[in-house]
Amino acid sequence: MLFNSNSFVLFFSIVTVAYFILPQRLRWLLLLVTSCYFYIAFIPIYILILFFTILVDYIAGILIENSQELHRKQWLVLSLVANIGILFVFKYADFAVDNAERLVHLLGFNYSFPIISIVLPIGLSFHTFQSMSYTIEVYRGRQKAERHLGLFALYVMFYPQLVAGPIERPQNMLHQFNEYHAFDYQRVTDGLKRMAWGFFKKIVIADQLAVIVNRVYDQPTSFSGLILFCATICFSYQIYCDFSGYSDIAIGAAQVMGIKLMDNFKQPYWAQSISEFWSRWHISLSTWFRDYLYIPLGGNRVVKWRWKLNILIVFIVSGLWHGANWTYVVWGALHGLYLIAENWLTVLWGRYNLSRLLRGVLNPGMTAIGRRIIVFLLVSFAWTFFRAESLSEGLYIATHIMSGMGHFLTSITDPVVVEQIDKTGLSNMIYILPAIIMLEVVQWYQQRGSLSAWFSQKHVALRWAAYYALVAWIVAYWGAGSQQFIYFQF
Amino acid sequence: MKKFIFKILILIIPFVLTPLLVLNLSGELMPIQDVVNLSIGDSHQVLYGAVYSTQTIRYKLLSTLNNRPNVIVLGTSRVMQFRRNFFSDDVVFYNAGGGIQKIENFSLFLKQIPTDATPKIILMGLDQNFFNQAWIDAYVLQPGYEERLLKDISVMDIIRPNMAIVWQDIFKGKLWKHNLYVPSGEYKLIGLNAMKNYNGFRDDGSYLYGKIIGDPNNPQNLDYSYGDTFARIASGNERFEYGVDLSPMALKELDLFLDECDSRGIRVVGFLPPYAGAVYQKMETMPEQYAYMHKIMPTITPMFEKHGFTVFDFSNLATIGATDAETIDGFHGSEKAYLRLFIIMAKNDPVLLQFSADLDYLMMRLNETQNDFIVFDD
Repeated sequence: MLFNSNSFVLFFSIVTVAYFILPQRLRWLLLLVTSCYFYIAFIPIYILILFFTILVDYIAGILIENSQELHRKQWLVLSLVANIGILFVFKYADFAVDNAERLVHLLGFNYSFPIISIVLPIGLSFHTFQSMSYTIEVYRGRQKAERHLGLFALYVMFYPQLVAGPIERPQNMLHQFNEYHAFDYQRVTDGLKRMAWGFFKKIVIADQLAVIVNRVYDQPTSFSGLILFCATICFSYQIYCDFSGYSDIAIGAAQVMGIKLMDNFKQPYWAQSISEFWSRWHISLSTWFRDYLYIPLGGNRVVKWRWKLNILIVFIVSGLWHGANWTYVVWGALHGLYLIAENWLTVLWGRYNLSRLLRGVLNPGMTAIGRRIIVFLLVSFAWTFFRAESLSEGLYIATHIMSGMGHFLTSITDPVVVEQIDKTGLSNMIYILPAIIMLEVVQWYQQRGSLSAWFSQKHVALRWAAYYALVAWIVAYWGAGSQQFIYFQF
Repeated sequence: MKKFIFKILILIIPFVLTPLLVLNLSGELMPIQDVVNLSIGDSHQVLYGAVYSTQTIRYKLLSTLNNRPNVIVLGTSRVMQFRRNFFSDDVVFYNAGGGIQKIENFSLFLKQIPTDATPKIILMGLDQNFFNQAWIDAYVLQPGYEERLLKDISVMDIIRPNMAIVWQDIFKGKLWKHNLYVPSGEYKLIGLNAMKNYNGFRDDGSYLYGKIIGDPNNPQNLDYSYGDTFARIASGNERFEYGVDLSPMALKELDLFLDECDSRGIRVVGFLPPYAGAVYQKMETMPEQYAYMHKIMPTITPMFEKHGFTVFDFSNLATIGATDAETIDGFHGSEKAYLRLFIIMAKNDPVLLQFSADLDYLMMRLNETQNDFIVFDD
């Protein structure tokens, strides 16, 4: 069941009304049953995999808590192996087999491995990571093992964040299912506003940009550098609006019911450095990798070369988390290299006191804008590999994206380019641009403080005009060119 | 809580109510039997053109059953230009064009007509692609023809998928545009296509293409200069699939239908409907791709003659004395073109001639009309 569907609107309405009608002791059961229903709407049989991981981690959590140190580690390892094993079988087996076969052929042997083609269970990467964070936190003594199987199951499969996060920590989430959340007008309306904003980003911006991006990235060799560049910028906004839109809907839906989920995005394209970008983009995943991979590897408390290796490992694994394809590995590796280069530049900047040298030359405001643009372009460049269908196509786009840019102003009137603009639907940007401008204006206010507080002080007529305009905008695009959420495939 | 519910309602209601009002006030939600009853009533002419609740197949069956015509036209949209005025005053005529999608649908449609309402004549439009195996394999039509023939669409089935679409059309201004053509007669307009464009089915089942008639040279028209049709020919799709052999299944279905008609005492006058001359010529330049087309007449003529029926090949519009100006698009002729081919059929089929209006009168009307689209005023 997609969020951007009539059936979800109906589902959410019914579940929420039932939630507030039911007594507290039955609410967990309602949410669990409806979450099962939500998941079954995709591929029903795969709920068995979810039940398996829930059962394994539920038992592992209790055994970890009740055992002595050696056995505690064993139960933890068992839980991690079970989760990673399932992830491997469903997500990486084909990739591993394919690459093993290539290696074997490269070594001169003529052998073909059997193909195991399995459909990836939806949300697998998300709920296995969420479940693993539970057993790890129990092992570390930071979370008591949950004895109520139903509540634990709900923690893993709470429907708003089941298929695409945010990846929650048990300390944040579990206790909330035990607490009573009364109907609160302000909280509920804020939740609904957040959902509406999420729908706006997804339906009005992301889905419309997807049409352009798909046409170009499906046949990149048919388009000029200018078109490739434009499509890549479009993809940067598409993936941001798609994913953050989903997160907003998830967070808003949970908020309506009184469950607070973590923020997953904080205006990432406003970052002035790559490290800042990663503190603003898919925060739940980046913090997961920081806490469960980067820090155990030693983090930055190791020698320089080891730190660089840690960075690359984390980002390559992060790339692989997104998908079983070398394109994701390259994307991850690029970000790792960006961070390493950024660190080197920062050291250089400090060593030669370049700030003092360039004071009076560089305007701080312009510097900030310049940095944001550079970070945005670097991130967008990396997105070419994330979006490309194959490594060869990714390389093609990456090596051709700047071709002809020197003649930008003349090429934009070139009949071939004009025809390509028509063919890709780039001319429709005239309709999407106002939405993107509105997005950036809202984000600018969000950067400066609480947009809600500022908005709530405005005249009621203005506020309601804004509500009607937003809903009308969403309704106008509802169902038109509807696309699945990008992160569903992970 | 009350304050919350109140605010939610005042936010949502306009978005829910507006498309509901649009659908209801335009007649899109009118039960199809009510549309048929209005069409049969003597008080006024009806023009029925729905956008969101198209039930053409059901509408045509119910109208046929209610009218109990002794002359029926059966076929796809390519037969919808035959009008009641082509026939003498004592003939009960109904154009059920649009009620057929594939050749096997003819028998199913006929099966619904009770014995005491059996027509005397069926004018049977045989789209050339009916016999193309490649089209049969490639063209995925909406499933459930029988269901669409025999069951009404519920109001909820109209409302549910169309609420957002109506809003989208409102925002795109599609519901505000006004057509340049206004029929001379007075119509009760049912459905948004009728209201906005004067596109719709008349009481006799023929179709009025108000939008095209009002602005035939508008480059925004779908098949302007036959661009869309030529694109289909180039791609070999959407009725223009490349095919070599005739479909044995289609031929068998035709044979069975002709047998059934003969056994029920129905005379069948068949014809291959016209393509625009330019379109036909284009296909002629691709003889290998459209090899099946020249095999149709030699194969089906004996099937018709076996029962004493007649069949005509009007594939090339130019052969009936019409120009390409007398077309709606690349494969739909106008009323004027169809009057021409009707006159040819009536002249060559003595039984049809008995039901026809006076041929001299029809010729006079044909020659008098200044308009390439309409002969008999609306």
